[in-house]
Amino acid sequence: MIEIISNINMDSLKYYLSIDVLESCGYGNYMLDLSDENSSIYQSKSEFVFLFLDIDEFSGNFDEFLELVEKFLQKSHKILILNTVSFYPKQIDTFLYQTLQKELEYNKKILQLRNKYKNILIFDFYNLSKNNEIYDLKYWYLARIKFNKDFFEKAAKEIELLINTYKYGSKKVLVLDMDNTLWGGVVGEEEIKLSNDGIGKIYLDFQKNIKKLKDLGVLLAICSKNNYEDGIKGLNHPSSVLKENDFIIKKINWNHKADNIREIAKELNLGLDSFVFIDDNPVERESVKQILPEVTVPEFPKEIYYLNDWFLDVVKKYFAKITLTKEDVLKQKQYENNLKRKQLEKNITYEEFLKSLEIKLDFYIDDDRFIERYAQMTQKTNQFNLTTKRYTAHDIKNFIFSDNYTVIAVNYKDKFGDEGITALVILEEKKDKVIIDTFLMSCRILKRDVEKEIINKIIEMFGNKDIIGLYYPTKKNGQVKDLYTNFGFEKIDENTFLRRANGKKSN
Amino acid sequence: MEKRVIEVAKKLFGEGIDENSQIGFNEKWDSLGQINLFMALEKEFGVKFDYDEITNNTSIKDIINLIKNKL
Repeated sequence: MIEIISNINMDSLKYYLSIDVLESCGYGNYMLDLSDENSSIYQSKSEFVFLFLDIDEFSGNFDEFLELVEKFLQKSHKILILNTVSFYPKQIDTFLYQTLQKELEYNKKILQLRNKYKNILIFDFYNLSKNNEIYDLKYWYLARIKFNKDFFEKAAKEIELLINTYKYGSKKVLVLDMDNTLWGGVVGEEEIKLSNDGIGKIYLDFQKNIKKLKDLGVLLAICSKNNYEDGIKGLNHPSSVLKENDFIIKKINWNHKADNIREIAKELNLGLDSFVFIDDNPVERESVKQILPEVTVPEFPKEIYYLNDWFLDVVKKYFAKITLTKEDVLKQKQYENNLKRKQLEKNITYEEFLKSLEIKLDFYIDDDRFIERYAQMTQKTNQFNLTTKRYTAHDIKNFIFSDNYTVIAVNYKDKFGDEGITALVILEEKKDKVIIDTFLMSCRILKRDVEKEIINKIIEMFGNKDIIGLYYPTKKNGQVKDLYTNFGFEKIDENTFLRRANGKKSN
Repeated sequence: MEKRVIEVAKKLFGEGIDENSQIGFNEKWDSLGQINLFMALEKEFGVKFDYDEITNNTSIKDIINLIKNKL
């Protein structure tokens, strides 16, 4: 649910937003609302607040406004969506550029909030207003509605994209075809087009863009119907920006693409819904779409000149990040390590393999240094997640500082590398029992007996009380449905499992 | 044309709108809804409405007649 506040009439947005809008009580009181902790924006049920500042109508002191915004960000647990500002395009001082100067100054300050607070998202009104016809003065004078229908549609989409990305995270893997996608022409049959001039530059720029995306932590894979040697030859082309080792997995063969993508997902231990597949061939796109509906398959531009412009839209829609955590950037390395571990695994028995990994777990108990990471894990983990409860950083903080809750995080390390914090347990302590409110683990460290060590840790800490494990089934967490019974808990009902104090069996 | 008018109104106010609907149909079609409906109709039909037209034509039937006279 979202609440809209503004110094102009922005309520038209409610006709275009697909999420629930909390009915507001008119516009203009935003300064008062921001400063009053008893006001609706502090107290209401809405999870998000969209604060739209129309800078033309704003007559106060901008720094004071920002102070109020900061106060809200500190005191409220809600997520604030604030706009970048943009003046009406026609101004009396057009050639003096005073408005431009103000715009830049204000926007810089707005963007700085982003580095300081985790509960703010930026709606880039500046960008939207500069690139579209958005004003309609008729409705401004009729009803203080400043913008046209196009604007409200675009703004609603943008806000929903922000919210969805915040809630569900972005895609993780970009799977690419090669011929007529990464370069022009068919490698092995003709001289491919990939160069600094002519049509070749389109593909060169495309590769540069893909490389940039990789540097932000997106995993790249290839799924292409070629002879393997030809495909590698293409990647080794002297002009190629993307090199062989930029791709974590290369499926260059004549198998069905859907099968290849399924294998990539399996090897990386990632859900198919984290995948985006780009291919110029409409038949391939359609077959992947039909066989693997979870995979995102964007249409390919009809005219190749627009490839890069189109790709930037794809990136914005599927790979935009709200925050960049240390884990995001390290992720590439971690997935690579994981693949290496898998190769080692093939040659020896599983126990030998586990031993050879030299796993080292560090437990962080009620440690408030990584709150943001903990929240991110509750938001993003779907498969190994017993209760799938989503928490904000604010919730986590409350658990950590509460006497009734214990938050245990696990840092996983082995001889291939440090995976970082990859498991999380939240325990609620009652008088004579302890409830495992949350138990989740990253897929990266599955099947390494880490869950056993975690259960042992819980028993070590709270084994003298009854321990209640919960399992709430979802579409994705079927793999942990027997977790508690496997560790000797008694099944009480569909969702509840019990280990009696000191491991006693029931009569 | 009639269908397009109803479609535009449905998009803003939800299913259930027909040629007999009018302002107050639900909580969404209030005075603000009325104005947003006309914004959307201007865009859909490429015509312009003045203030009196926007405030006086508050049922789907009136709106259809109004647009008929403009096209």
